[in-house]
Amino acid sequence: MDIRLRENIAARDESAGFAHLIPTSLAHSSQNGGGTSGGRSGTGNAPSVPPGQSHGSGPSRVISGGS
Amino acid sequence: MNAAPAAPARAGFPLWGGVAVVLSTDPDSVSAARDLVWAETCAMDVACSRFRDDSELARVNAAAGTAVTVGPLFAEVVSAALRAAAATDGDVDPTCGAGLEAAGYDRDIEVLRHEGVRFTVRERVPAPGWQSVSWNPATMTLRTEPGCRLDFGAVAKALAADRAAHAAARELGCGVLVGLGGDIATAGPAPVGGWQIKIADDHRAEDTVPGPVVSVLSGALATSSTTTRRWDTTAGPAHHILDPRTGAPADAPWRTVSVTAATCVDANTASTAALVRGEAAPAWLEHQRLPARLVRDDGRVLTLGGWPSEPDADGPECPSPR
Repeated sequence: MDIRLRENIAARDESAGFAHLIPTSLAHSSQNGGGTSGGRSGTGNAPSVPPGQSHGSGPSRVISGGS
Repeated sequence: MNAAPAAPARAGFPLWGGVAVVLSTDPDSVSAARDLVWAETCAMDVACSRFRDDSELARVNAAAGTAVTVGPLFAEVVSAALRAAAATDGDVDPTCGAGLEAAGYDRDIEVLRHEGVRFTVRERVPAPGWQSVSWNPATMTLRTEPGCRLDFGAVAKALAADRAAHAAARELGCGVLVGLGGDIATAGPAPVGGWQIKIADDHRAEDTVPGPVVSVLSGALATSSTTTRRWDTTAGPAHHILDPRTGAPADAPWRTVSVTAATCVDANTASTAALVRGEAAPAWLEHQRLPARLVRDDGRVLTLGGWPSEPDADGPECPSPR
């Protein structure tokens, strides 16, 4: 039998938000302290400012941008 | 597992109109990590490319209106894409395929970039909606409405990054960062000081491009932008992030949005949704507790949710330029 996603989700929680729908991701990251050395506690995998902007330059640094 | 050296080793290859980057905390393993990432991206291409006739996606789209059984990787993508749609109230919708084609994105972006042809937009095709998809993950049986064309776009790319990073870290026993077209997933122990990531409008930019550098110890970081995957049409310049409700390129006040989350799929889902959601994006991202950096069309920056503030960044109350 096919499962209609809308019905399935509605059955779980009509007011479900992102965190509810993805408990293994966002909740996991918060429980792990966000995996950061900075940022606000409990906000997921918040990035931090690296110690010294020149650290990690060149081949050990990557760029995140649009594709 | 040995302690990670301060500077990871690097490898890469061209991919999907952009570049793939692989970093490994074990320099001796970086070639093997690159090979694993390459294999993962090849598998994803065979499953989900909209631009090859032999992909599983092409078979599914050709069979719209009838039930088809799909393979395990395709099934994982379907589940991720439908979950992304549900989590964003349809801002990220996998039923956008026909809309993208009607908007001009009907061939590989490299061809589109270099053709220099102004695409004639005859109509806008709103997405039929993710709710119209019937999906049984237990039997991996999928049925879309007649005429529906799926496009997994960035969800498939982000899932490939997640899968590749975890496969490489597990196989090689070291820390691995995988960046596919600017969407970054990490797995295993980070190098000392964390993974260093510069934020830019275009992931293909040189390392000298201006932009903040952030560090992450785990999880993922994705950036979506309306500035890169663009082409010319009779209806004006177009980009690849459609508003599913209209079938037109999203008219966002933001040109680039970066988000961190536990997985690249989550991060990319949120960054893409933010562009579609427009002025409501900051409040939505805050509600999701996702650290984010948003760049307005005029270059002003808004950071929130624990993303490091920048000296010239606006606060949460920054006014709209529109």
